[in-house]
Amino acid sequence: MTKTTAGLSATSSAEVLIELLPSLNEDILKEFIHRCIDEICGRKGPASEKFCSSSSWTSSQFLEATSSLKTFIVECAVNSHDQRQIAENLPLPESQINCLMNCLAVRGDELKHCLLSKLKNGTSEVLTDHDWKVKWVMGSSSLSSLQETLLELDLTTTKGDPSALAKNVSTQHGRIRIELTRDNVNTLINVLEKAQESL
Amino acid sequence: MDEVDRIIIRSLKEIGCDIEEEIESLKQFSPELVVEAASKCIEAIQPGSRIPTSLPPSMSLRFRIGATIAQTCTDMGYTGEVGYQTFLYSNEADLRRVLMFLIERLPKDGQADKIVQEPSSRAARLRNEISATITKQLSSPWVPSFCRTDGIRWHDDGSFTKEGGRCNPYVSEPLQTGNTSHGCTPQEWREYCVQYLPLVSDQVSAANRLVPSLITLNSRGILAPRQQLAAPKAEELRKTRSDLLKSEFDKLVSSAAQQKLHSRSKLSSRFALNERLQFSSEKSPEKKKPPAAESVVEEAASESAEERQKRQEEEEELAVEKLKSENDDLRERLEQLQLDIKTMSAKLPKVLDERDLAERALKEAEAQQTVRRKVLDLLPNADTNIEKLHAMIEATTKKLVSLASQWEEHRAPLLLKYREARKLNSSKASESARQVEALRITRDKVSELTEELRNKEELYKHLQAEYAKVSKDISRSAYTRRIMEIIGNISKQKDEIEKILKDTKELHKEINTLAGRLDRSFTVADEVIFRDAKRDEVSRRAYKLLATLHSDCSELVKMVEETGANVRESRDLEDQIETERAKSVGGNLERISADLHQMKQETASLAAQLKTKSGDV
Repeated sequence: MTKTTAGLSATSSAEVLIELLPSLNEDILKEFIHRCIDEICGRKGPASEKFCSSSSWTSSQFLEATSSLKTFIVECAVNSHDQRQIAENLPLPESQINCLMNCLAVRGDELKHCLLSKLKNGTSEVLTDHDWKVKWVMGSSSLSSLQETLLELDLTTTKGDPSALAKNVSTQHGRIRIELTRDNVNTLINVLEKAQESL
Repeated sequence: MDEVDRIIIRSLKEIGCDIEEEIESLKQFSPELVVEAASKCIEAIQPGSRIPTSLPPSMSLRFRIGATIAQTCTDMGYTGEVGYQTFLYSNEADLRRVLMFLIERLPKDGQADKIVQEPSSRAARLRNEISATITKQLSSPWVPSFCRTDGIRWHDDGSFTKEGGRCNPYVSEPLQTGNTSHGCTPQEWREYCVQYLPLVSDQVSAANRLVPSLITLNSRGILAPRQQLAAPKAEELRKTRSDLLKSEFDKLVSSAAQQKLHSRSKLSSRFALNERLQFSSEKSPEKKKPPAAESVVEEAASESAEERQKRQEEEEELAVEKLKSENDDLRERLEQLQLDIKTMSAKLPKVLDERDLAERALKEAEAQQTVRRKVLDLLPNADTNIEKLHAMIEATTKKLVSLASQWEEHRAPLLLKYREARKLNSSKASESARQVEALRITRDKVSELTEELRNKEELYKHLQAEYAKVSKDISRSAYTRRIMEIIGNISKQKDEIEKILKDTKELHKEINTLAGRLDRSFTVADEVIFRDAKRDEVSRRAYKLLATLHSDCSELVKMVEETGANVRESRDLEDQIETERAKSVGGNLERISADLHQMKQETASLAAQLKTKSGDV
């Protein structure tokens, strides 16, 4: 399934790229490719102002170029294309192909790592970050002086989507907020330790 | 006065003065004790007044402390005469008056307790701080949210509290710091790090994610060496999940390990590596241009090192190429084999189904075959065999009947027995149920009683504590009784005074009537004798004598009255003398002049010191 859609979009994205990429010089192109890889890896992507000003792109062209390049890069990384295969898929001047190859070689491992972790997480939610606060309960509606501690635990989860490898992960965050008493915290820690041991 | 002194001493002990047991009246107070008592009273009335409780040896300081206390007393509204000598050279009566004034102004018990109970533990202090902050927030007026940037509200005293406001969630993003990934030649990697790797602050998609991302990166760096032990196990797990994943992962791990071997980094923690790489990327351009002043030997050494490094790199590249080609071969084989496995595994369930069907058919056929064989064996002499079968059937039925009768025989008594046992059991069960019920009731009662006992014990403890608290105040009731007695005495004295006044009034009245009668009788006698005196010589003399007698007597009375007035005046004067003597003004004056002298001396010595110092300088 994924392969066929990737293939389909690859052909259309290749056309877009053939049309748009030659207007960039080598340095700008490299930077653009790196920023696209950054976005795939869950970081800040390319800024439209910078690349629009340094080339003749309109903002819609920029968006098209970004999404197509990302799709293409993912396809290259998934199928481990070499230079010949890339050149077949994307008939561009040799210097630009070299740029692309260079970037892919530099960032290849990072890219693979990111894509693998996205695949590995699958469709289930995975805990990525946690934050905590200690709260002190002074009183309640029935007790004027209730001296109790509570732990507020914020869990941030991420849901991977294997069918959309090129999308940025940071857009799909789930948040779970729980309040725990001292006993609850102990239970949670014990369960987590047991889970770690059994791994 | 003893009573008053005792009350004063007790109150002073309550606010924390160190008064010894032997001291029972104000007469025995030393100046130090007087100053301590007065300053502690003032401290309790006005917390934070900070008057020292001990007397220094220097006269001027002593004077200053005494004067401060006196000034504070007058500020508080003391109307009597008070000066520094009141405290330093204590006069019993004055001192009593001042101390009574101060003790009357002491805060009441409850407030005093609050001052004494200072929390000591850290948690208690934190709790106090929290409640103080909350009280502050509750007492301050409401402020619209646009006046509080980020929920921070400034108070008048310069402190601030956070009230509401937005709170950013903790979301981190993976950061690239230039040391985590190496899948290329070092030159390419360096070029990427120097030219294209953005600053960490530019890598995050939103500014509020920078700090969480950095924290996550650093904690990962700290945790990484610890988790390396667990890593192989995790790999085994992943092996089973998918062959593709495994190959990819192994490649990653091996390349990372290679890189580690090549770089021969001595630093194990990633955090440290981060720093090193960051700095080295900045420094690298400088390194390329070695200073010209370096010695030839060093240059030669560095050249040879560079050559060695080049050779090494070439070797590495060769090895990498070789490994890559091997890797490609293996991958092709792997794909081929995977394809085979897929086709085979697709066929497998079909084959299994077919086998199951065949086995079932086989079993059915075998059963049919055994029946048929038996029938075929019996076929040759059918009649005799049929008869035999009939006989067998009859024998079996007979046997069955006999067995049934036997069964009945055994069954009847057993059934009876069973019923009896059941009856017994049920009666026992009911009995035990009754006992259980009784037990339960008793247990309830016991628990109730224990509860009650506990309550009573608590009450007892509480009451005992209260009693311990109250026992202090026994002296207070004694004092009130004493005061009541004194009031009774005073009323009795008042009655007596009134009685005496009445007597005096009566006496006055009597005197008046007597004087009137005397006047009247005198005028009568005067008239009678005067009438006779015109005619009789004796009467004339008698009249003269009467006149002199009258004037003498009135003179006498006047004298007596004057004496009384004088005596009263002298008594008043004596009293005045007594009070003046009690004040001992002369002694005080002497002392004060002595103090003045001493202070002058001290000032002179200080001035001399100053002079010598300035001379030295």
